[in-house]
Amino acid sequence: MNHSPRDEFLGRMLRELRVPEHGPGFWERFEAKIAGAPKPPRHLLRRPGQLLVAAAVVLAVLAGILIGVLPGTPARPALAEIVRQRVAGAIDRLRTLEGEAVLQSRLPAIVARTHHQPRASTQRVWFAFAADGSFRTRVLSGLEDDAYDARTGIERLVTTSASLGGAGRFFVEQRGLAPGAPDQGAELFAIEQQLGSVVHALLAARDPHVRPTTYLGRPAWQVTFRQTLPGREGVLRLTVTVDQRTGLPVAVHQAGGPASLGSSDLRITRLQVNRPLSRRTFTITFPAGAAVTQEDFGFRRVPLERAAQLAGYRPLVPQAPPGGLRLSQVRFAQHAMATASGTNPPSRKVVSLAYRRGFEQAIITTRLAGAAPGRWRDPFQTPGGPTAAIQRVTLTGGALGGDHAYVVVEPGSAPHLWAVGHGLVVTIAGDLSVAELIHTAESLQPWK
Amino acid sequence: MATGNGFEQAAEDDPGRLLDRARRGDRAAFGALVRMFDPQLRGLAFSLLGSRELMDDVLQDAYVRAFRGLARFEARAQVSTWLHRIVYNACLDELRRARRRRWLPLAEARSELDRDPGPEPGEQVVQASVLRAALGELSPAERAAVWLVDAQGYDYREAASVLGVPEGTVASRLTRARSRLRAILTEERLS
Repeated sequence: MNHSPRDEFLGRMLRELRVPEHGPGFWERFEAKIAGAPKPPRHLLRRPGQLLVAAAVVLAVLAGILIGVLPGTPARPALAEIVRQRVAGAIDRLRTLEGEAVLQSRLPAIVARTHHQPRASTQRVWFAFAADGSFRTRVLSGLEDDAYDARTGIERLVTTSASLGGAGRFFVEQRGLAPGAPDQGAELFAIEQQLGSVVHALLAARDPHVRPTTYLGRPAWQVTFRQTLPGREGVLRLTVTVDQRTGLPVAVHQAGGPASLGSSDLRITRLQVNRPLSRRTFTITFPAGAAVTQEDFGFRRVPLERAAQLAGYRPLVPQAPPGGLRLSQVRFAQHAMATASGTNPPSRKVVSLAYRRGFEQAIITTRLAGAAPGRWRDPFQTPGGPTAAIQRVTLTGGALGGDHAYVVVEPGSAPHLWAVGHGLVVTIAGDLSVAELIHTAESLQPWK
Repeated sequence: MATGNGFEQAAEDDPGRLLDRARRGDRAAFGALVRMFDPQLRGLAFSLLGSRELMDDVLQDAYVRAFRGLARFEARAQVSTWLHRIVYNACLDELRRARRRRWLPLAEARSELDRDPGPEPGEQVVQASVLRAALGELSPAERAAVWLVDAQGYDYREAASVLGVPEGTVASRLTRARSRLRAILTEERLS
C-alpha cells in the first residue's frame, strides 16, 4: 500500500510525457552482450541458519500477499503498471488464440423493443484468431459459422434466417474485402473487437484499481477502471480479469455509459495461446451443390510499391506508426463502394494499409478526392447513427501540414480521423487515442 | 503447458519465476524479465539523461550489470526496485562521466527532449516542452525522486531504496522539486 503523499497533478503530466523507444538493434546488442557474459554464480544456501532466514522471508512475503488480497485494498500504482506491461507484452507476443467464450448482453427494455431484440441473450461460441486478422467463430448452440482469411481477403459465412425462426442455412462468400473501415471489411468479430478495445482502454487507463483474484482456479488480476465517453454519453465502467500466466484478458464486464448500451459480459472458458493453426481453420467448405451468394468488393492484396504503381499517386504512409503497431498488409482497389453509406463521391484508386499488434488494428486509407473535394463528408458516417463528438484540428506536420482534419469519437466504434488534402481523402481509424490519431496524421508522408 | 482447466500457457512471464530461472543462468529468462520492466526503466533513464542515445547506452550497461549481479540480488527486495536502483546509479555515473556542469542545461534539455520522442499534438506540445525544460532545471536526484514517486507511484520507502538515501531525504527532495516545478509551470501559466 502506498501511504506516501503524491502530487497527482504533476504525476499525471509526467506520465503523459512521451518516452522514446529504444533505437534499432538495442535488444540484439543486449542479447549479444549477455551471451558473452559469464553465467551468474548459483545462489546457494550455504548454512542451515540461512534456511530459517529464508523461511522468515517467505512468511513475510506471504503476509504481504495476503494483505494485498484483502478485498477493497487499493493496489499500488506500481502493480497497475506491472499489469499493463504484462498485457502489452502478451499482446506483442500473440500469434494465435483459440478457445471458447460465453457472451452475455442485457439491453434496456425500450431498446430491446425498438430493435426487436431479446432483453437478455447468451451465446456460447468457439473461436480462433490469428494476429494477421484472420478469424473463425462458430456459435456452439446454433448453425452460424463465420470464417475470414486475411491473407486472401475472403470471408465465408453460414447464416440462418431470423424470419424463418432460425431455420434454413444460407451460404455467403465475400471476396476482395478491404482490411477494414471505412471500406467494406469482414464482419466484425465480436470477441476480437471487444478484446481489442478493452486492451487499448486498459493500457490507457488512468489509475486503474487492481486486486489479485483467481479465475477458473488460476491466479489473475481484476482490473477496474472507467472510460469517459465523448460528449454527454457518460462513463463506462469496465472490469477486466487478466490471467497472470498468459497476461491476456479472459473476462470483461462492461456497464454504465449511454443507457442504450446496456451491459455486457465476456467470459473466456477455454483458451489456447500461440498454438499453430492450419489455414483451413479460417475457411469454410460449403456442402457440394449448395447455392452460394457471392460478392466481390474489389480489393486485392499487393505490395505497397505495386499499390503506388496502380494508384498512380504516392500513398501517404505514417513515419511513426502508433502504439507499437506494425504494417500487416496493403490492399488496393481501382474502384470501391462509395463511403458514408453511398453519400460520398465514388471511391477511386483506394490504398488501404492495415497496421496490427495482436488484437489491435489501425487502418490508414488514401483515395483520390476528385474534382470536387468539398463534397466529401465523414467517410465513416452512418445516417441515423449515434451522435458523434467531432473535433476539428489543424495538422502541424507531415504531408497534410496546414490542412484541417476531423477527429471523430463515438461510442461503440473505433475512433477515427479524416482529412482532404494533397488531392486525396485520407482516413485513419482503429484502436487509437485522439492524440495518437493526430500524431499519426502529422507523421504522414508520401511513400518513397 | 496444458492445465486441467482448459488453458494453455505459451511462455513463462511471472517475474518471480523468471528471476529464479535467470539466477540459474537462463539468459532468455533474464531478457524477458528486463523487458517486462523496460518501459518504466526507460522512463527513469530518459528523465535523467534527456537523450535517447545516452538512454540506450546507459541501459545496455545497466542491464548487463544487473545480469552479472544476479547473485547479489536479495530475495527480500522487489525486482523492480533493484533494477531501478541499478539504472539510477548507471545514469548518475554517466552524468558524472560526461562532466556536465551539474545536469543538462535548460536549452540543451529543451532541444534534445523535444526531438527524441516526437512532438505531442496541439496544446500538449507546449505543455510537454515546458515540463521537460522544467525537469531540466532540477538536479538528477530531484528529478529521479519526482519521477519515481509522482509519476510511477513509488512510496517513499521504495524510492529511498532506489535512490540509496533515507526516506526523509526523499521527502525533502520532493518538496524542493515540486516547489520548483510548480513555480516554473505557473510562470508558463500552465497550472
